[in-house]
Amino acid sequence: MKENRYSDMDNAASRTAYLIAGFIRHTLTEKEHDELDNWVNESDHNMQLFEDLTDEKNLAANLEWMDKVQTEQSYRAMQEKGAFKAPLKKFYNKKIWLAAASVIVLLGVFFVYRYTTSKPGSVEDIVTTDTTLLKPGGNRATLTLADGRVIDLTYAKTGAIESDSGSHVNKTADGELVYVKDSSATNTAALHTLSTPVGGQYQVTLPDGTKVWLNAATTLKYPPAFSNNERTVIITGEAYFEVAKNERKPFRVLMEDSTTVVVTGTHFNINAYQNEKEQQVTLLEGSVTVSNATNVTKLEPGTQALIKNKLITKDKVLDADEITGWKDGLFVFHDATIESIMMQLERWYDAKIIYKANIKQLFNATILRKEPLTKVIKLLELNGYVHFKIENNTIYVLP
Amino acid sequence: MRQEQNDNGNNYALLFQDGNEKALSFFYHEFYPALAHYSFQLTQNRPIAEEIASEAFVKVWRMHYKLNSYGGIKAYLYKIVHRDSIKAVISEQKRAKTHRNLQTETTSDTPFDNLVRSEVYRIIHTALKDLSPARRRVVIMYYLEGKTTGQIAQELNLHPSTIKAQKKDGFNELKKSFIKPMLWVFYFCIKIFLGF
Repeated sequence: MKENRYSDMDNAASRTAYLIAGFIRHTLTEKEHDELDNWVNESDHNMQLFEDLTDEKNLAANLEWMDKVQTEQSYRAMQEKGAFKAPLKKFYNKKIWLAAASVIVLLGVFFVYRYTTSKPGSVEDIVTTDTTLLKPGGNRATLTLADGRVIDLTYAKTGAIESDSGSHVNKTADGELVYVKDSSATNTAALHTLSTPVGGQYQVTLPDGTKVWLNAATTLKYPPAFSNNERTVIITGEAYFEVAKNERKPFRVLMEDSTTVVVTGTHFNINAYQNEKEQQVTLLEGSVTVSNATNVTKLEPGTQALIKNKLITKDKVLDADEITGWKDGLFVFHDATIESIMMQLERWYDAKIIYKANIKQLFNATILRKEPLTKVIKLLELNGYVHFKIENNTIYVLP
Repeated sequence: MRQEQNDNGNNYALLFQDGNEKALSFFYHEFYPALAHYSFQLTQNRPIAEEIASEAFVKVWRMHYKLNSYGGIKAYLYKIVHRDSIKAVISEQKRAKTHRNLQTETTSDTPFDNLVRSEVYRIIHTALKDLSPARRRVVIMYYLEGKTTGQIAQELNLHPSTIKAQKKDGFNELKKSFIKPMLWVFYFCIKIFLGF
Protein backbone atom coordinates (compact mmCIF):
# COMPACT_ATOMS: atom_id res chain seq x y z
CA MET A 1 0.00 0.00 0.00
CA LYS A 2 1.33 3.43 -0.79
CA GLU A 3 1.53 5.82 2.10
CA ASN A 4 2.62 8.89 0.26
CA ARG A 5 0.25 11.08 2.15
CA TYR A 6 2.28 10.67 5.34
CA SER A 7 5.52 12.46 5.70
CA ASP A 8 8.88 10.87 5.15
CA MET A 9 9.69 11.81 8.71
CA ASP A 10 7.60 8.96 10.08
CA ASN A 11 9.44 6.41 7.95
CA ALA A 12 12.85 7.82 8.79
CA ALA A 13 12.04 7.99 12.50
CA SER A 14 10.75 4.40 12.51
CA ARG A 15 13.90 3.20 10.78
CA THR A 16 16.18 5.08 13.16
CA ALA A 17 14.26 3.76 16.16
CA TYR A 18 14.53 0.21 14.81
CA LEU A 19 18.31 0.58 14.48
CA ILE A 20 18.84 2.08 17.91
CA ALA A 21 16.60 -0.52 19.58
CA GLY A 22 18.49 -3.22 17.71
CA PHE A 23 21.76 -1.78 18.93
CA ILE A 24 20.59 -1.92 22.52
CA ARG A 25 19.38 -5.50 22.11
CA HIS A 26 22.52 -6.60 20.25
CA THR A 27 20.42 -7.84 17.32
CA LEU A 28 21.80 -5.68 14.50
CA THR A 29 23.41 -7.15 11.42
CA GLU A 30 26.74 -5.70 10.32
CA LYS A 31 25.03 -3.77 7.53
CA GLU A 32 22.51 -2.33 9.97
CA HIS A 33 25.32 -1.39 12.32
CA ASP A 34 26.97 0.57 9.50
CA GLU A 35 23.66 2.27 8.73
CA LEU A 36 23.33 3.27 12.37
CA ASP A 37 26.91 4.56 12.50
CA ASN A 38 26.28 6.72 9.45
CA TRP A 39 23.19 8.20 11.02
CA VAL A 40 24.90 8.90 14.35
CA ASN A 41 27.82 10.58 12.64
CA GLU A 42 25.59 12.78 10.50
CA SER A 43 25.38 15.48 13.16
CA ASP A 44 26.08 16.39 16.77
CA HIS A 45 22.34 16.37 17.32
CA ASN A 46 22.06 12.76 16.18
CA MET A 47 25.03 11.77 18.29
CA GLN A 48 23.43 13.46 21.30
CA LEU A 49 20.11 11.68 20.73
CA PHE A 50 21.87 8.33 20.35
CA GLU A 51 23.83 8.76 23.57
CA ASP A 52 20.71 9.88 25.33
CA LEU A 53 18.75 6.83 24.25
CA THR A 54 21.49 4.31 24.98
CA ASP A 55 22.22 5.71 28.42
CA GLU A 56 21.27 3.00 30.94
CA LYS A 57 19.65 5.30 33.44
CA ASN A 58 17.44 6.89 30.79
CA LEU A 59 16.50 3.54 29.35
CA ALA A 60 15.63 2.08 32.74
CA ALA A 61 13.62 5.16 33.71
CA ASN A 62 11.65 5.24 30.47
CA LEU A 63 10.94 1.53 30.51
CA GLU A 64 9.71 1.94 34.06
CA TRP A 65 7.46 4.77 32.89
CA MET A 66 5.96 2.55 30.22
CA ASP A 67 5.55 -0.30 32.69
CA LYS A 68 3.29 1.91 34.76
CA VAL A 69 0.96 2.37 31.80
CA GLN A 70 -2.07 0.15 32.34
CA THR A 71 -2.92 -0.61 28.74
CA GLU A 72 -5.40 -3.42 29.30
CA GLN A 73 -7.31 -1.47 31.96
CA SER A 74 -7.39 1.57 29.75
CA TYR A 75 -8.72 -0.43 26.82
CA ARG A 76 -11.42 -2.09 28.92
CA ALA A 77 -12.46 1.24 30.39
CA MET A 78 -12.78 2.75 26.91
CA GLN A 79 -14.84 -0.24 25.75
CA GLU A 80 -17.11 -0.01 28.75
CA LYS A 81 -17.90 3.62 28.30
CA GLY A 82 -18.66 2.92 24.67
CA ALA A 83 -15.97 5.27 23.37
CA PHE A 84 -15.48 3.18 20.26
CA LYS A 85 -19.16 2.89 19.48
CA ALA A 86 -19.93 6.59 19.78
CA PRO A 87 -21.86 7.08 16.52
CA LEU A 88 -24.23 4.16 17.16
CA LYS A 89 -25.15 5.53 20.59
CA LYS A 90 -27.40 8.05 18.93
CA PHE A 91 -29.64 5.28 17.69
CA TYR A 92 -30.50 4.09 21.15
CA ASN A 93 -32.95 6.95 21.51
CA LYS A 94 -36.29 5.26 22.07
CA LYS A 95 -38.39 7.70 20.07
CA ILE A 96 -36.20 7.47 17.02
CA TRP A 97 -36.15 3.69 17.26
CA LEU A 98 -39.94 3.53 17.36
CA ALA A 99 -40.27 5.89 14.44
CA ALA A 100 -37.66 3.96 12.45
CA ALA A 101 -39.27 0.66 13.37
CA SER A 102 -42.70 1.75 12.17
CA VAL A 103 -41.27 3.08 8.91
CA ILE A 104 -39.46 -0.22 8.39
CA VAL A 105 -42.64 -2.18 9.02
CA LEU A 106 -44.56 -0.05 6.54
CA LEU A 107 -41.82 -0.39 3.96
CA GLY A 108 -41.71 -4.11 4.58
CA VAL A 109 -45.40 -4.42 3.87
CA PHE A 110 -45.04 -2.29 0.78
CA PHE A 111 -42.18 -4.32 -0.66
CA VAL A 112 -43.76 -7.66 0.12
CA TYR A 113 -46.82 -6.50 -1.78
CA ARG A 114 -44.75 -5.18 -4.67
CA TYR A 115 -42.57 -8.21 -5.11
CA THR A 116 -45.24 -10.80 -4.80
CA THR A 117 -47.18 -9.28 -7.67
CA SER A 118 -44.30 -8.57 -10.03
CA LYS A 119 -42.81 -10.49 -12.94
CA PRO A 120 -40.22 -13.26 -12.49
CA GLY A 121 -36.58 -12.28 -12.69
CA SER A 122 -36.67 -9.44 -10.18
CA VAL A 123 -34.44 -10.98 -7.56
CA GLU A 124 -32.79 -9.03 -4.76
CA ASP A 125 -29.55 -10.94 -4.74
CA ILE A 126 -26.77 -10.20 -7.16
CA VAL A 127 -27.06 -12.35 -10.26
CA THR A 128 -24.00 -12.62 -12.41
CA THR A 129 -24.44 -14.76 -15.43
CA ASP A 130 -21.21 -14.23 -17.27
CA THR A 131 -17.88 -14.11 -15.49
CA THR A 132 -15.98 -12.74 -18.47
CA LEU A 133 -17.79 -9.40 -18.38
CA LEU A 134 -17.39 -6.58 -15.87
CA LYS A 135 -13.80 -7.40 -14.94
CA PRO A 136 -11.77 -4.65 -13.25
CA GLY A 137 -9.64 -2.46 -15.49
CA GLY A 138 -5.92 -2.74 -16.00
CA ASN A 139 -2.93 -1.21 -17.74
CA ARG A 140 -4.27 -0.64 -21.24
CA ALA A 141 -3.58 2.14 -23.71
CA THR A 142 -2.74 2.96 -27.30
CA LEU A 143 -0.06 5.35 -28.53
CA THR A 144 -0.74 7.20 -31.78
CA LEU A 145 2.35 8.70 -33.41
CA ALA A 146 2.51 11.92 -35.43
CA ASP A 147 2.52 10.00 -38.67
CA GLY A 148 -0.71 8.22 -37.70
CA ARG A 149 0.69 4.82 -36.71
CA VAL A 150 -1.15 3.32 -33.73
CA ILE A 151 0.72 1.13 -31.25
CA ASP A 152 -1.16 -1.04 -28.77
CA LEU A 153 0.82 -0.67 -25.53
CA THR A 154 -1.18 -3.31 -23.67
CA TYR A 155 0.50 -6.21 -25.40
CA ALA A 156 3.75 -4.54 -26.43
CA LYS A 157 6.90 -6.05 -24.99
CA THR A 158 8.91 -3.96 -22.53
CA GLY A 159 11.77 -2.15 -24.19
CA ALA A 160 11.97 0.33 -27.05
CA ILE A 161 8.71 1.29 -28.72
CA GLU A 162 8.76 2.41 -32.32
CA SER A 163 8.51 6.17 -32.63
CA ASP A 164 8.94 9.03 -35.04
CA SER A 165 10.10 12.66 -35.14
CA GLY A 166 13.49 11.55 -33.83
CA SER A 167 12.19 10.71 -30.35
CA HIS A 168 12.87 7.60 -28.30
CA VAL A 169 10.21 5.88 -26.23
CA ASN A 170 10.50 2.89 -23.93
CA LYS A 171 7.93 0.72 -22.22
CA THR A 172 9.77 0.31 -18.92
CA ALA A 173 7.19 -1.89 -17.19
CA ASP A 174 3.58 -2.97 -17.43
CA GLY A 175 1.63 0.27 -17.57
CA GLU A 176 4.62 2.62 -17.84
CA LEU A 177 5.88 4.58 -20.82
CA VAL A 178 9.01 6.75 -20.69
CA TYR A 179 10.20 9.31 -23.22
CA VAL A 180 13.93 9.80 -23.40
CA LYS A 181 15.06 13.43 -23.34
CA ASP A 182 16.41 13.80 -26.82
CA SER A 183 17.75 17.07 -28.20
CA SER A 184 18.04 15.62 -31.65
CA ALA A 185 14.25 15.48 -31.93
CA THR A 186 13.41 17.78 -34.80
CA ASN A 187 9.75 18.48 -35.39
CA THR A 188 8.35 20.19 -32.30
CA ALA A 189 4.96 20.67 -33.92
CA ALA A 190 4.35 16.92 -34.06
CA LEU A 191 1.99 15.43 -31.50
CA HIS A 192 1.73 12.01 -29.95
CA THR A 193 -1.55 10.79 -28.47
CA LEU A 194 -1.71 8.44 -25.51
CA SER A 195 -5.21 7.08 -25.05
CA THR A 196 -6.73 4.77 -22.44
CA PRO A 197 -9.96 2.87 -23.15
CA VAL A 198 -12.79 2.37 -20.67
CA GLY A 199 -11.26 0.05 -18.08
CA GLY A 200 -7.74 1.23 -18.83
CA GLN A 201 -5.06 3.24 -17.09
CA TYR A 202 -1.49 4.17 -17.95
CA GLN A 203 1.46 6.20 -16.78
CA VAL A 204 3.78 8.19 -19.01
CA THR A 205 6.98 10.16 -18.36
CA LEU A 206 7.24 13.03 -20.86
CA PRO A 207 10.55 14.16 -22.39
CA ASP A 208 11.01 16.86 -19.73
CA GLY A 209 10.64 14.39 -16.87
CA THR A 210 7.02 15.26 -16.08
CA LYS A 211 5.06 12.21 -14.91
CA VAL A 212 1.42 11.81 -15.89
CA TRP A 213 -0.98 9.11 -14.69
CA LEU A 214 -3.99 8.58 -16.99
CA ASN A 215 -7.27 7.23 -15.64
CA ALA A 216 -9.79 5.31 -17.75
CA ALA A 217 -11.28 6.78 -20.96
CA THR A 218 -8.62 9.47 -21.08
CA THR A 219 -6.62 10.98 -23.92
CA LEU A 220 -3.42 13.00 -23.57
CA LYS A 221 -1.85 14.78 -26.57
CA TYR A 222 1.72 16.06 -26.27
CA PRO A 223 4.75 16.73 -28.44
CA PRO A 224 7.49 14.08 -28.34
CA ALA A 225 9.90 17.00 -27.95
CA PHE A 226 8.92 20.20 -26.15
CA SER A 227 9.63 23.55 -27.78
CA ASN A 228 12.16 25.95 -26.40
CA ASN A 229 9.93 28.31 -24.49
CA GLU A 230 6.96 26.29 -23.28
CA ARG A 231 5.50 22.83 -22.68
CA THR A 232 1.90 22.32 -23.76
CA VAL A 233 -0.28 19.22 -23.55
CA ILE A 234 -3.98 18.62 -24.24
CA ILE A 235 -6.28 16.42 -22.18
CA THR A 236 -9.75 14.93 -22.06
CA GLY A 237 -10.61 12.61 -19.19
CA GLU A 238 -8.76 12.41 -15.88
CA ALA A 239 -5.04 12.59 -15.18
CA TYR A 240 -2.71 13.29 -12.33
CA PHE A 241 0.38 15.35 -13.08
CA GLU A 242 3.76 15.64 -11.37
CA VAL A 243 5.33 18.40 -13.40
CA ALA A 244 9.11 18.62 -13.63
CA LYS A 245 10.33 22.00 -12.45
CA ASN A 246 11.42 24.41 -15.18
CA GLU A 247 10.69 28.05 -14.52
CA ARG A 248 11.82 29.11 -17.99
CA LYS A 249 9.35 26.78 -19.65
CA PRO A 250 5.91 26.97 -18.05
CA PHE A 251 3.85 23.81 -18.36
CA ARG A 252 0.37 24.31 -19.80
CA VAL A 253 -2.52 21.87 -19.88
CA LEU A 254 -5.37 22.61 -22.29
CA MET A 255 -8.78 21.10 -21.75
CA GLU A 256 -11.18 20.49 -24.61
CA ASP A 257 -13.41 23.43 -23.67
CA SER A 258 -10.30 25.63 -23.90
CA THR A 259 -9.78 26.03 -20.16
CA THR A 260 -6.07 26.32 -19.54
CA VAL A 261 -3.99 25.30 -16.52
CA VAL A 262 -0.55 26.92 -16.23
CA VAL A 263 2.10 25.63 -13.84
CA THR A 264 5.85 25.76 -13.32
CA GLY A 265 6.46 22.69 -11.21
CA THR A 266 3.83 21.01 -9.12
CA HIS A 267 1.42 18.12 -8.41
CA PHE A 268 -2.20 18.35 -9.45
CA ASN A 269 -5.16 16.32 -10.69
CA ILE A 270 -7.39 17.23 -13.62
CA ASN A 271 -10.82 15.69 -14.07
CA ALA A 272 -12.21 16.75 -17.44
CA TYR A 273 -14.53 14.13 -18.82
CA GLN A 274 -16.68 15.34 -21.71
CA ASN A 275 -19.74 13.49 -20.45
CA GLU A 276 -19.75 15.16 -17.03
CA LYS A 277 -21.34 18.47 -16.10
CA GLU A 278 -18.29 20.00 -14.50
CA GLN A 279 -14.54 19.71 -14.67
CA GLN A 280 -12.17 19.94 -11.70
CA VAL A 281 -8.56 20.89 -11.27
CA THR A 282 -7.22 19.95 -7.83
CA LEU A 283 -3.85 21.21 -6.63
CA LEU A 284 -1.79 19.18 -4.16
CA GLU A 285 1.59 20.86 -4.22
CA GLY A 286 3.10 23.93 -5.87
CA SER A 287 0.96 26.49 -7.66
CA VAL A 288 -1.20 26.65 -10.77
CA THR A 289 -3.35 29.18 -12.57
CA VAL A 290 -6.59 28.02 -14.15
CA SER A 291 -8.03 30.27 -16.84
CA ASN A 292 -10.49 30.42 -19.71
CA ALA A 293 -11.81 33.22 -21.91
CA THR A 294 -13.66 34.86 -19.02
CA ASN A 295 -11.99 33.90 -15.70
CA VAL A 296 -8.60 33.51 -14.12
CA THR A 297 -8.17 31.67 -10.84
CA LYS A 298 -4.98 30.95 -8.90
CA LEU A 299 -4.93 27.84 -6.73
CA GLU A 300 -3.06 27.08 -3.52
CA PRO A 301 -2.27 23.54 -2.39
CA GLY A 302 -5.38 21.90 -0.97
CA THR A 303 -7.77 23.86 -3.19
CA GLN A 304 -9.72 22.99 -6.29
CA ALA A 305 -11.07 24.88 -9.31
CA LEU A 306 -14.51 23.84 -10.54
CA ILE A 307 -15.35 24.66 -14.13
CA LYS A 308 -19.02 24.61 -15.02
CA ASN A 309 -20.76 26.45 -17.85
CA LYS A 310 -17.59 28.43 -18.53
CA LEU A 311 -17.50 29.69 -14.94
CA ILE A 312 -14.58 28.93 -12.67
CA THR A 313 -15.17 28.74 -8.92
CA LYS A 314 -12.66 27.92 -6.21
CA ASP A 315 -13.20 25.43 -3.44
CA LYS A 316 -11.25 23.99 -0.54
CA VAL A 317 -10.44 20.29 -0.72
CA LEU A 318 -10.69 18.43 2.57
CA ASP A 319 -9.63 15.03 1.39
CA ALA A 320 -6.93 14.85 -1.27
CA ASP A 321 -7.06 11.05 -1.20
CA GLU A 322 -10.57 11.16 -2.59
CA ILE A 323 -9.26 12.95 -5.67
CA THR A 324 -6.04 11.06 -6.28
CA GLY A 325 -6.80 7.66 -4.77
CA TRP A 326 -7.30 6.25 -8.26
CA LYS A 327 -3.67 6.66 -9.20
CA ASP A 328 -2.66 4.54 -6.23
CA GLY A 329 -5.04 1.80 -7.25
CA LEU A 330 -7.90 2.74 -4.92
CA PHE A 331 -11.47 3.89 -5.17
CA VAL A 332 -11.87 6.44 -2.38
CA PHE A 333 -15.44 7.51 -1.71
CA HIS A 334 -15.96 10.13 0.95
CA ASP A 335 -19.56 11.30 1.34
CA ALA A 336 -19.98 10.48 -2.33
CA THR A 337 -23.31 10.35 -4.18
CA ILE A 338 -24.30 7.08 -5.79
CA GLU A 339 -24.10 8.79 -9.18
CA SER A 340 -20.48 9.82 -8.82
CA ILE A 341 -19.61 6.32 -7.61
CA MET A 342 -21.43 4.59 -10.49
CA MET A 343 -19.76 6.90 -12.98
CA GLN A 344 -16.35 5.72 -11.80
CA LEU A 345 -17.43 2.06 -11.81
CA GLU A 346 -18.86 2.49 -15.30
CA ARG A 347 -15.54 3.74 -16.55
CA TRP A 348 -13.41 1.13 -14.84
CA TYR A 349 -15.49 -2.00 -15.29
CA ASP A 350 -16.96 -1.01 -18.67
CA ALA A 351 -20.51 -1.41 -17.42
CA LYS A 352 -23.80 0.21 -18.32
CA ILE A 353 -25.69 1.76 -15.44
CA ILE A 354 -29.47 1.82 -15.17
CA TYR A 355 -31.06 3.59 -12.22
CA LYS A 356 -34.25 2.11 -10.83
CA ALA A 357 -34.36 4.50 -7.90
CA ASN A 358 -33.14 7.86 -6.75
CA ILE A 359 -30.72 7.10 -3.93
CA LYS A 360 -30.09 10.15 -1.79
CA GLN A 361 -27.67 8.50 0.64
CA LEU A 362 -23.97 9.43 0.65
CA PHE A 363 -21.37 6.69 0.78
CA ASN A 364 -18.00 6.17 2.39
CA ALA A 365 -15.64 3.42 1.31
CA THR A 366 -12.08 2.72 0.23
CA ILE A 367 -11.74 -0.21 -2.13
CA LEU A 368 -8.90 -1.57 -4.21
CA ARG A 369 -9.56 -1.01 -7.88
CA LYS A 370 -8.39 -4.49 -8.71
CA GLU A 371 -11.23 -6.06 -6.73
CA PRO A 372 -13.93 -7.75 -8.82
CA LEU A 373 -17.09 -5.72 -9.29
CA THR A 374 -19.14 -8.12 -7.18
CA LYS A 375 -16.98 -7.34 -4.15
CA VAL A 376 -17.27 -3.58 -4.68
CA ILE A 377 -21.03 -3.93 -4.99
CA LYS A 378 -21.27 -6.00 -1.81
CA LEU A 379 -19.33 -3.36 0.10
CA LEU A 380 -21.65 -0.59 -1.09
CA GLU A 381 -24.67 -2.65 -0.14
CA LEU A 382 -23.39 -3.09 3.42
CA ASN A 383 -25.24 -0.15 4.91
CA GLY A 384 -28.47 -1.27 3.32
CA TYR A 385 -29.31 1.96 1.54
CA VAL A 386 -28.86 0.61 -1.96
CA HIS A 387 -28.97 -2.70 -3.78
CA PHE A 388 -27.67 -3.82 -7.13
CA LYS A 389 -28.46 -6.39 -9.74
CA ILE A 390 -25.99 -7.33 -12.42
CA GLU A 391 -27.15 -8.74 -15.75
CA ASN A 392 -24.61 -9.26 -18.53
CA ASN A 393 -22.80 -5.92 -18.61
CA THR A 394 -25.44 -3.80 -16.97
CA ILE A 395 -25.68 -2.76 -13.34
CA TYR A 396 -29.14 -1.93 -12.04
CA VAL A 397 -29.22 0.44 -9.09
CA LEU A 398 -32.11 -0.47 -6.80
CA PRO A 399 -33.34 0.94 -3.51
CA MET B 1 11.82 -11.70 11.50
CA ARG B 2 11.08 -8.09 10.90
CA GLN B 3 9.45 -9.01 7.62
CA GLU B 4 7.08 -11.47 9.32
CA GLN B 5 6.15 -8.94 11.92
CA ASN B 6 5.46 -6.44 9.16
CA ASP B 7 3.15 -8.88 7.38
CA ASN B 8 1.33 -9.58 10.62
CA GLY B 9 0.90 -5.87 11.25
CA ASN B 10 -0.41 -5.26 7.75
CA ASN B 11 -2.88 -8.12 8.05
CA TYR B 12 -4.26 -6.53 11.18
CA ALA B 13 -4.34 -3.23 9.32
CA LEU B 14 -6.63 -4.67 6.66
CA LEU B 15 -8.91 -6.01 9.40
CA PHE B 16 -8.76 -2.57 10.99
CA GLN B 17 -10.03 -1.03 7.80
CA ASP B 18 -12.92 -3.49 7.82
CA GLY B 19 -13.87 -2.32 11.30
CA ASN B 20 -12.83 -5.54 13.03
CA GLU B 21 -12.55 -4.97 16.78
CA LYS B 22 -9.79 -7.52 17.19
CA ALA B 23 -7.66 -5.27 15.03
CA LEU B 24 -8.55 -2.26 17.18
CA SER B 25 -7.46 -4.21 20.24
CA PHE B 26 -4.22 -5.20 18.52
CA PHE B 27 -3.27 -1.64 17.66
CA TYR B 28 -4.38 -0.34 21.03
CA HIS B 29 -2.17 -2.77 22.91
CA GLU B 30 0.68 -2.29 20.46
CA PHE B 31 0.82 1.50 20.57
CA TYR B 32 -0.98 2.85 23.61
CA PRO B 33 2.08 2.95 25.95
CA ALA B 34 4.29 4.48 23.26
CA LEU B 35 1.71 7.11 22.35
CA ALA B 36 1.21 8.01 26.01
CA HIS B 37 4.99 8.23 26.34
CA TYR B 38 5.17 10.45 23.26
CA SER B 39 2.51 12.76 24.64
CA PHE B 40 4.25 12.81 28.01
CA GLN B 41 7.40 14.11 26.33
CA LEU B 42 5.41 17.17 25.28
CA THR B 43 2.87 17.61 28.08
CA GLN B 44 4.96 16.34 31.02
CA ASN B 45 1.68 15.22 32.59
CA ARG B 46 0.90 11.52 32.83
CA PRO B 47 -2.92 11.56 33.19
CA ILE B 48 -3.27 14.03 30.33
CA ALA B 49 -0.82 12.06 28.18
CA GLU B 50 -2.75 8.83 28.71
CA GLU B 51 -6.04 10.53 27.96
CA ILE B 52 -4.70 12.01 24.75
CA ALA B 53 -3.39 8.61 23.72
CA SER B 54 -6.71 6.85 24.27
CA GLU B 55 -8.65 9.62 22.55
CA ALA B 56 -6.36 9.25 19.54
CA PHE B 57 -7.62 5.70 19.10
CA VAL B 58 -11.21 6.89 19.24
CA LYS B 59 -10.50 9.41 16.48
CA VAL B 60 -8.60 6.97 14.32
CA TRP B 61 -11.26 4.30 14.78
CA ARG B 62 -13.87 6.69 13.41
CA MET B 63 -11.95 6.82 10.16
CA HIS B 64 -11.03 3.18 10.08
CA TYR B 65 -12.32 2.79 6.55
CA LYS B 66 -9.58 5.11 5.29
CA LEU B 67 -6.59 3.35 6.80
CA ASN B 68 -5.29 0.04 5.55
CA SER B 69 -1.60 -0.23 6.37
CA TYR B 70 0.35 -0.73 9.60
CA GLY B 71 2.64 2.22 8.84
CA GLY B 72 -0.30 4.42 7.89
CA ILE B 73 -2.20 3.72 11.10
CA LYS B 74 0.94 4.25 13.19
CA ALA B 75 1.79 7.53 11.48
CA TYR B 76 -1.76 8.81 11.84
CA LEU B 77 -1.94 7.90 15.54
CA TYR B 78 1.30 9.76 16.27
CA LYS B 79 0.15 12.70 14.21
CA ILE B 80 -3.06 13.04 16.23
CA VAL B 81 -1.27 12.62 19.56
CA HIS B 82 1.25 15.27 18.52
CA ARG B 83 -1.43 17.73 17.54
CA ASP B 84 -3.54 17.18 20.65
CA SER B 85 -0.50 17.33 22.94
CA ILE B 86 0.57 20.69 21.53
CA LYS B 87 -3.00 21.93 21.96
CA ALA B 88 -3.00 20.77 25.58
CA VAL B 89 0.31 22.48 26.31
CA ILE B 90 -0.83 25.74 24.76
CA SER B 91 -4.13 25.80 26.63
CA GLU B 92 -2.31 24.95 29.86
CA GLN B 93 0.06 27.84 29.27
CA LYS B 94 -2.86 30.15 28.68
CA ARG B 95 -4.51 28.99 31.91
CA ALA B 96 -1.40 29.31 34.02
CA LYS B 97 -0.69 32.66 32.35
CA THR B 98 2.98 31.87 32.19
CA HIS B 99 4.79 32.55 28.97
CA ARG B 100 7.22 29.73 28.93
CA ASN B 101 8.85 29.07 25.63
CA LEU B 102 8.00 25.51 24.61
CA GLN B 103 11.44 25.05 23.16
CA THR B 104 13.56 26.15 26.12
CA GLU B 105 11.30 24.50 28.68
CA THR B 106 12.32 20.96 27.91
CA THR B 107 15.25 20.19 25.63
CA SER B 108 16.09 20.98 22.04
CA ASP B 109 14.09 17.95 20.94
CA THR B 110 12.57 18.04 17.50
CA PRO B 111 9.37 16.13 16.64
CA PHE B 112 11.67 13.61 14.94
CA ASP B 113 13.55 13.07 18.21
CA ASN B 114 10.34 12.62 20.18
CA LEU B 115 9.11 10.06 17.69
CA VAL B 116 12.39 8.13 17.71
CA ARG B 117 12.41 8.10 21.50
CA SER B 118 8.93 6.70 21.87
CA GLU B 119 9.49 4.15 19.15
CA VAL B 120 12.78 2.88 20.60
CA TYR B 121 11.22 2.40 24.01
CA ARG B 122 8.15 0.82 22.47
CA ILE B 123 10.22 -1.77 20.63
CA ILE B 124 12.26 -2.69 23.68
CA HIS B 125 9.30 -2.57 26.05
CA THR B 126 7.34 -4.89 23.79
CA ALA B 127 10.23 -7.34 23.57
CA LEU B 128 10.60 -7.44 27.34
CA LYS B 129 6.90 -7.39 28.15
CA ASP B 130 6.33 -11.12 28.25
CA LEU B 131 9.29 -11.99 30.44
CA SER B 132 9.00 -12.68 34.16
CA PRO B 133 10.44 -9.94 36.40
CA ALA B 134 13.46 -12.04 37.33
CA ARG B 135 14.36 -12.87 33.74
CA ARG B 136 13.66 -9.34 32.69
CA ARG B 137 16.12 -7.96 35.17
CA VAL B 138 18.85 -10.22 33.92
CA VAL B 139 18.19 -9.54 30.24
CA ILE B 140 18.08 -5.78 30.81
CA MET B 141 21.30 -5.84 32.72
CA TYR B 142 22.95 -7.84 29.98
CA TYR B 143 21.64 -5.60 27.20
CA LEU B 144 22.20 -2.25 28.79
CA GLU B 145 25.27 -2.58 30.80
CA GLY B 146 27.00 -5.27 28.80
CA LYS B 147 27.80 -6.89 32.13
CA THR B 148 29.31 -10.32 32.10
CA THR B 149 27.62 -13.22 33.81
CA GLY B 150 30.10 -12.97 36.69
CA GLN B 151 29.40 -9.28 37.25
CA ILE B 152 25.62 -9.79 37.23
CA ALA B 153 25.94 -12.73 39.61
CA GLN B 154 27.92 -10.59 42.00
CA GLU B 155 25.42 -7.76 41.86
CA LEU B 156 22.37 -9.93 42.36
CA ASN B 157 24.02 -12.25 44.84
CA LEU B 158 23.28 -15.29 42.75
CA HIS B 159 25.30 -18.17 41.43
CA PRO B 160 26.63 -17.62 37.88
CA SER B 161 24.92 -20.79 36.66
CA THR B 162 21.53 -19.34 37.76
CA ILE B 163 22.29 -16.24 35.73
CA LYS B 164 23.19 -18.35 32.74
CA ALA B 165 19.92 -20.26 33.08
CA GLN B 166 17.88 -17.05 33.49
CA LYS B 167 19.55 -15.52 30.45
CA LYS B 168 18.91 -18.60 28.39
CA ASP B 169 15.29 -18.79 29.51
CA GLY B 170 14.91 -15.12 28.86
CA PHE B 171 16.10 -15.55 25.29
CA ASN B 172 13.89 -18.57 24.81
CA GLU B 173 10.89 -16.60 26.00
CA LEU B 174 11.81 -13.86 23.57
CA LYS B 175 12.00 -16.46 20.82
CA LYS B 176 8.59 -17.78 21.89
CA SER B 177 7.08 -14.36 21.60
CA PHE B 178 7.91 -14.47 17.92
CA ILE B 179 6.29 -17.84 17.32
CA LYS B 180 2.78 -16.62 18.14
CA PRO B 181 2.83 -13.84 15.53
CA MET B 182 4.25 -16.26 13.00
CA LEU B 183 1.32 -18.60 13.61
CA TRP B 184 -1.04 -15.68 13.03
CA VAL B 185 0.70 -14.92 9.76
CA PHE B 186 0.35 -18.56 8.75
CA TYR B 187 -3.34 -18.44 9.67
CA PHE B 188 -3.86 -15.34 7.59
CA CYS B 189 -1.96 -16.75 4.64
CA ILE B 190 -4.30 -19.73 4.66
CA LYS B 191 -7.30 -17.43 4.88
CA ILE B 192 -6.10 -15.33 1.98
CA PHE B 193 -5.31 -18.46 -0.02
CA LEU B 194 -8.83 -19.70 0.52
CA GLY B 195 -10.19 -16.31 -0.53
CA PHE B 196 -11.65 -15.31 2.83
